[in-house]
Amino acid sequence: MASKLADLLNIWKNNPGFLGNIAVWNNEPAHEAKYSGFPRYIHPDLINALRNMGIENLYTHQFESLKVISRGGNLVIVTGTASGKSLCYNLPVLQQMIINEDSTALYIFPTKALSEDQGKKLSLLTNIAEPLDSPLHNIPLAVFDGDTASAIRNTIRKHVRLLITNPDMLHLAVLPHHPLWVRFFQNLRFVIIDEIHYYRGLFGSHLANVIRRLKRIANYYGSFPQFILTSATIENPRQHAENLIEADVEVIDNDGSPRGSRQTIFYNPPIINRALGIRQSAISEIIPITKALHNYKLQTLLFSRTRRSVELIIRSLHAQGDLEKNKIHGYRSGYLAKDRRRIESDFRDGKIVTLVSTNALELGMDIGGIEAVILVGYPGTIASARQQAGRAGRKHELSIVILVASMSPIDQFLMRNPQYFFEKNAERAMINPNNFLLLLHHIRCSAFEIPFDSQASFGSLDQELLLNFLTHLEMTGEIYHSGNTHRWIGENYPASMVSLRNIDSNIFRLLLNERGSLRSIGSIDGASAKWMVHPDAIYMHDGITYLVEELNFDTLEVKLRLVETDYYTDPQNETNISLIQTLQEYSCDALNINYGEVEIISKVSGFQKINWQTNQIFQTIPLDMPESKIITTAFWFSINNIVIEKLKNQKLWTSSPIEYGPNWNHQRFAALKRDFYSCQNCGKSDQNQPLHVHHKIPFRQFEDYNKANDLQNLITLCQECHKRAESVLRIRSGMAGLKYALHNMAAFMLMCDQSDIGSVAELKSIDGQNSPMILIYDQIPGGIGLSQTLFEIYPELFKNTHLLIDQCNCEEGCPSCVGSAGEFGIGGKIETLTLIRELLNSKDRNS
Amino acid sequence: MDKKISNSFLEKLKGLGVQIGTELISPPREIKKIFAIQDVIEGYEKTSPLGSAFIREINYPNGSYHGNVNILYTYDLDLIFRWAKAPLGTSPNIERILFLDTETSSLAGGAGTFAFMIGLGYFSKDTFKVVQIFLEDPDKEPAFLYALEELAAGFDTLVTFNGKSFDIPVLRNRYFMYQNPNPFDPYNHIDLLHLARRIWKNRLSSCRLADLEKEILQFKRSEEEIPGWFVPQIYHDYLFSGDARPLAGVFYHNQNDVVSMAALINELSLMLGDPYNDKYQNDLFSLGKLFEDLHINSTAQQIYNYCSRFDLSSDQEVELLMRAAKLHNRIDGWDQAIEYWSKAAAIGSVEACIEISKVYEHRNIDLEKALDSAQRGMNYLSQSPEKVSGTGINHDLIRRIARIQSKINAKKKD
Repeated sequence: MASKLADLLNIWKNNPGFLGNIAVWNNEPAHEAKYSGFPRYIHPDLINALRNMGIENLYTHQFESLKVISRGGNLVIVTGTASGKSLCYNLPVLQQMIINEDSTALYIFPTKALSEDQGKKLSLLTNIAEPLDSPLHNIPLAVFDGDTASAIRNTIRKHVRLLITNPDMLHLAVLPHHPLWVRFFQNLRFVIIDEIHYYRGLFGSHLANVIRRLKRIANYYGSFPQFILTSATIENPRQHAENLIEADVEVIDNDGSPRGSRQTIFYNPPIINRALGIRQSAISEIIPITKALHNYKLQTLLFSRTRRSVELIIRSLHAQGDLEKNKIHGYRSGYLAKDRRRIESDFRDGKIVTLVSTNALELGMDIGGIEAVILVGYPGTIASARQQAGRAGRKHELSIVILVASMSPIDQFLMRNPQYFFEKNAERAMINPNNFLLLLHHIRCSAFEIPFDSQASFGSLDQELLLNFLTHLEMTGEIYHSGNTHRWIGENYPASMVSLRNIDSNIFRLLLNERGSLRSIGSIDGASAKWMVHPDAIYMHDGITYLVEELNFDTLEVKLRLVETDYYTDPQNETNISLIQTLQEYSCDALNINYGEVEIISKVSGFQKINWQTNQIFQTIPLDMPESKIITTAFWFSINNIVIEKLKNQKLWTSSPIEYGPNWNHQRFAALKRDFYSCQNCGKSDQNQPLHVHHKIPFRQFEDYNKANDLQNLITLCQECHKRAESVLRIRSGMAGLKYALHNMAAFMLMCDQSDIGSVAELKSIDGQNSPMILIYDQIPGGIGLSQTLFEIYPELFKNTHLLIDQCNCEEGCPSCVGSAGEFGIGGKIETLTLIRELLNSKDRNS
Repeated sequence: MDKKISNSFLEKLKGLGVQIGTELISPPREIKKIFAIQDVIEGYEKTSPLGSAFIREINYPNGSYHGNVNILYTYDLDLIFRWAKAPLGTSPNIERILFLDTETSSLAGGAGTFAFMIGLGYFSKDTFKVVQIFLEDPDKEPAFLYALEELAAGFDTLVTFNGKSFDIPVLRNRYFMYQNPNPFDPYNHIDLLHLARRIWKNRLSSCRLADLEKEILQFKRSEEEIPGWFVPQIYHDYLFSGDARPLAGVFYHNQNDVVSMAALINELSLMLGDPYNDKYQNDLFSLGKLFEDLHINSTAQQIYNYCSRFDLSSDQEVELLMRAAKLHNRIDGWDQAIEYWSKAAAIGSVEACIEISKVYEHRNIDLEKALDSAQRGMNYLSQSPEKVSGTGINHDLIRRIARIQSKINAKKKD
């Protein structure tokens, strides 16, 4: 039976215009369901409940989950969306609830929407049971989050057995008030943590500590619960799970659920400006594709990165005229719960044909299998991309996924290296629960919850280190030590001083200026504030674009107003880095590679305005901001002189002073005279200040020194302005290009946000060597494990970075490989490629 | 015992921006208690299988006054018990009432807050006894809680001030943390804060115990007094210094809190028993409202009548008239009530106009008068809309006028 989708695909296949933009067309054959029956010990009421829901058999992975749990172990389930993952944890939990009518279970979901959704699923299972006096019936379950009315909180505490909550609520409201939950903790048998790939970086590190506190409390009341976790595909599900809960975890990743065949198309918009490497925007390309799908009445879900683009897409679709407007809808987390429910069910029922969403729909919510999913731009991590793609899939029919690339470096990298999407080696999820600042915060919280006696431990934290923290807290007067016990004696509520989303206690309030009145729309931590919401920054919050009117360090307020602009802003950081200590190092003839602790003093010195569509910089504006100082971990490498000399000989090394030709002196004086011996940029004409004559287009770009030294190309500048101009040129050099590409690739391989790491390129290495270096550091004070990982994976990092640049179709350099082309149209691509090739080649010689 | 903290650890913390204490505040365990509590306060150790707890007792013999209130004279407590919704049939026995006030390590609540001092008060024949339990060291908490449970046995009613929101939840948490049941679960609980607010909220700027003590009981505390917000700090300092001398102020503070509650409940019972006494003239209206809430309507009515002779602000007068009207409506019928509504309407009450309109629309049918009154209300509303904004009265009047108008039109047609 040929489906409509198959027909449409055929049409596309025969369309050369469409085909010309396809980078990859992958086919996954259908797979049949793999069934196992029910284990013997499953309670008949539970089997009946499942039968009433239309489930006659378990998939193999569901059966296996039950087995692992019955053996007493912890489990992480790594199967796709719509694979029946929730039964993998709901079944063992409900089975236990039936056997022991006091048992309780804790469910942790990352978002409120997901909590509500899963709550409903559980409710269904417990209510559909027969007979009515079955112990399965009406097991008290409740969602406990910020929206839970205070009137029913007491009832929940008294009676609940299945508690559904999120990490923030657990941290702030449940754990510090555990005496109100004694019954719940005394009988706690299971802790379910869903979507653990979501808990990476800082958030994950916080959660790991919250779990440590949870376990302390459960153990105090005599419970040692089993953990059941789920994850999307990441490179290290077991390791990540074990890092989160500090216990052994078994992995189940053989998906027994059925799926119709799925075709995945990687679509790269055509290049419209070869020299600058500019492509057609992803959004404009998907409109005709979506239109076609819509007209064939094929259920389509589009994922876009921001709310703004979601709205843009919907507007564009509506403007098409011949599409039924009410069958196209948007979706995002900001909508009211009941509206979201309605959209989800309308979509399921076919009343909405095309749904455009932010990544809010990436996690769990049941919207059925969809025929077509379009990813408008790569969502930032492979795991996310697979989750979004995973929404496509009917049990027995064909579905498609189309990933449309934007101009960002990783999007383009993926188009040429699709194996990162298709094969298993997705990103690694990394956390560092033992970051000192995090430990300090959470040990305070844990001391508030349960005193530490001499036997007490905090997860697997070294006892001596724990004692150091406790002693420090004694010295600050927050802990009192008597006999064997360290006890909280402080006057505040420590959990309220920690936000799980950041590490800085200076929180700025974001205030929207609406015609004179100010309304709070959220908050941002102090460290991020300096570069994300500097004065005149374009700031995106919840997908909406704002302009920063004022940043006040005294009142900790940021004043914003709504804007629609065609540009975004990019802050310019002046960073000074000094070495504290090297922890690990490796040398080869080309490079010295290091990992260690550094002190970073940074200052936002200005910002650039960059066009959204083309990524062109059209204005650079200076700023006067206070500096930030942090101590953190970093990965860096310095390039040995052998390589520098080699490059210099190829005349590609712009960072060295060079000869300017025989007529240089003459031309130089002519320029000075013409310019009245004053700086043409700032007007300085102090006799005591040396004046420089600067080549507007760098000397090295010319074949003929006459043309290079032509008066038109010369300009008089004072030392300051010349420095600045030179640095503009230096940015053109290979180091800057390499830094840009490395930063992007590092973020990709670390599975972190671009803003989670900082990078610098300097002519002198921080460890005293007179060699240029590139350094990448963790933005979180104390480090969160990112730079350490880079040290471990640097060969692949370099290899992939080289690929990224080499495979780029541009000529001189572009935002997709080495960064923006700049005013002179010089990309730095050749310099960068040469540099990294030397680094790669040199390494090989040694190994 | 060696208390060492590694230097590299401290350096690391400092580098991350954390404030480092320069010296240990807590002295090693052995050299403790420069001035132990036993040296500072007169008391005794109450022993139990769980250890010992420090106890101080103060007796207030017959004839003791707290401010201008005789501690031991109590009028009928029936009404107060009724207000507190004690189970029916409970007859107040003054000797089974336990006054309770805690001092805690912090005001934050949660698992990290504990009580370090509990003040108990009770009547025993001709004496009012105050018993204070003190937590000499947090390690001794099991004995402390055990002592409290023992001392609290034999009573069935708790009297606290804000105890429902604070003191009892803190104590309950402590029992729960040791996986014991809450011993105060079966008790009746009279929280005087809520009763005090009923009576004095309009008149006094603050109903905190300290302020009531000054205004109502006219008691002035001595210089020994430590204000409540500073108490946790004193205990904190005591633990780290081993010097119990500053605690004397906390004992004084706690003891007076307990006695104040006893005096307050006496005063309240007196007021309820003799509301027309000149002393209580300022609070008579509030008392009337309380009687009304207790469904003792005849007394309420009498009080409202009495109050009408007073010099009241127009807002108070309106409230008085409306309440009186409501009572009459319930007891004697609308024809009595309408007199009061008319008076209120004359002063400008929109609600009164609505009530009158209702009567003429549904009871003593006179549609013209009904419309007239509703429109009068509308006029008042338009003159000062901010008074009733958000209450939906605007919509109510619009609908009402429209409905009456159409009824009139319908009648004309016939």
